[in-house]
Amino acid sequence: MNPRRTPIVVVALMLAPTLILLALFNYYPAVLGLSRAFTRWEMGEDPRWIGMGNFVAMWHDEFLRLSLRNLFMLLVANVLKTLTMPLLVAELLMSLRSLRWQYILRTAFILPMVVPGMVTMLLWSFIYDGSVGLLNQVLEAAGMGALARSWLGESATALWAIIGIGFPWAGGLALLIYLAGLNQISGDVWDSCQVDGVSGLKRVWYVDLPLLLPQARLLVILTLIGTMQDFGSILILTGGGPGLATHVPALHMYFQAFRFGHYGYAAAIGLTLFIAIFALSLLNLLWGRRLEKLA
Amino acid sequence: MRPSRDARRAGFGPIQRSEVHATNVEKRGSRSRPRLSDVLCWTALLILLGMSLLPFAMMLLLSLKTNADIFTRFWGLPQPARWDFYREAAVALRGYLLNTLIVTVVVVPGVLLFSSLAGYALARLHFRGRDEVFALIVALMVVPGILTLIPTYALVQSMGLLNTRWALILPYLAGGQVLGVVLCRTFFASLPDELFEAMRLDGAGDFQIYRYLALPLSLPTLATIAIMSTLGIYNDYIWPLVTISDSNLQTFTVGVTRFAGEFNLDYGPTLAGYVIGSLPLIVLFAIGMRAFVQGVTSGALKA
Repeated sequence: MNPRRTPIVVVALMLAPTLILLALFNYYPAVLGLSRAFTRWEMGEDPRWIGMGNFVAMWHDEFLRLSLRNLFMLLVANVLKTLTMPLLVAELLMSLRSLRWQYILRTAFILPMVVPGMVTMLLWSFIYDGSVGLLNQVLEAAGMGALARSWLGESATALWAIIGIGFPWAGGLALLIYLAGLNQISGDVWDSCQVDGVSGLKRVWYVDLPLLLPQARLLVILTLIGTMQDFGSILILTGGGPGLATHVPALHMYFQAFRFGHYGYAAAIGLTLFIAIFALSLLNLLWGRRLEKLA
Repeated sequence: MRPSRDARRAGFGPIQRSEVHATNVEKRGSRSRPRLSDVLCWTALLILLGMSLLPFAMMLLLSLKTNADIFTRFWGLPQPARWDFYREAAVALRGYLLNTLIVTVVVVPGVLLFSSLAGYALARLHFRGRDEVFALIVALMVVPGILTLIPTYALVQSMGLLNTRWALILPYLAGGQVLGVVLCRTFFASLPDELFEAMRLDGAGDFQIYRYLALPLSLPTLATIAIMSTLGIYNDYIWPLVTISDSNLQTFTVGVTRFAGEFNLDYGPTLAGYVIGSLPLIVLFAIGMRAFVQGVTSGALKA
């Protein structure tokens, strides 16, 4: 590397727009989010330091406790979703004889990704609709019309309906990442498998899956982080209801801030979620290190 | 071809990374590729694909039908096809789509310009603290939106920007740069030094090198960043929901939820509106599928 220094004016001109914007709209709010969590900060009032007060209140918040149960269900369901169907489709696509068809089908499978997220949500709320919803129509056509109901409107089914969104959960980012992973596996490895008579499911289990571990790891952590933060879809579909059937912590934070004006308390929930996300990412990093050592 | 001892190692033992690195893309699809049963494969794929696409196919079909037609013959073809629903929906959504377009057209070029400049500086200029500055930007990747939502709202409010386009433009411009700078810097750092030295010997300054060497070479990277930014803006719901109350300034994603209520359970025009709202991203996908696929997978590495 050339040790020659660039004139500071040039450096400043090139970096200034980025650094000013990031400092103002990313760093400052992040620091504020850390510090305001320890204040009593109501809408229209100045924040006042109360130490751990918000966190003590969170501990006694019955709504929050109930919402944790729902979040846990969603986390488990979403991780299972990302680990199964997209992987199955990726393996099926890879075993197609024709590369052309492989490409065409892959494109078709990721097509739903390009539909705006909000349109997909609204479409699913139509699918679950109590009167002419697609799901009820399918059930009726299959002679199971007795099961028809307003899927998002009953507490017994609402959370399951949210989990069911995107069924059969086959495409999307996970599919792309598994395909990228499978494409990285050397042709020699597959040749060797065939020479040794390791084929079909056996190959998938003993060769593909261990080699896809990094991809699965990435997807699990992305799913966990995404699920903990996402509340827009629940806000649109059920608003957390009926009752508290689909309430989640991030939605609780949103309501506390923008419905009740408890900014300080909401910031504390936000900080807690951030700590949980950060801890998961760290854990994931350590796990990755250990795997590398094993390999 | 290696003897089978190797194969056994590959199959049942831990696999050395080096073996995997010997990637052989051309091999893909060669005759030696092992396969599951073809018929089974195709059947499973087509069933899964059908189920995945069914909601969207029904969206298209029902968007042309009146409520009466939907209630009596749900699965039947529209009789007659009500193309006028599309005009009706387009009129109702036009304003929202235009607002999203305005924000996108201002933000995306800004993100590209600023993040390529910063990426160039962090990869190719020599100054003290360069790596530290880059580390500070990378650190922002682990800061989730959930932490900064409320403080950013308070900030925008105190700046008096609520209910203006700036409330969207400025935070998007800043937020888009985190991934942008990282991708640009990585790309510029990967270019061979000789290219830059050659231009420098010809007497070019840093801005000229940026403009005539770095920028043209980085077009694929910039396309990826542009697509990621556009997707982010188009799909964002919570931020415009809380910062924009004037429906004349509202973006598509929030607007379409209000629109869904306006037609009062008139399913045809509502679904026609969903189709119209999906078109811009589908067109973008058709134009830049490669950049799109690259974008969503590299965006995933953000974690």
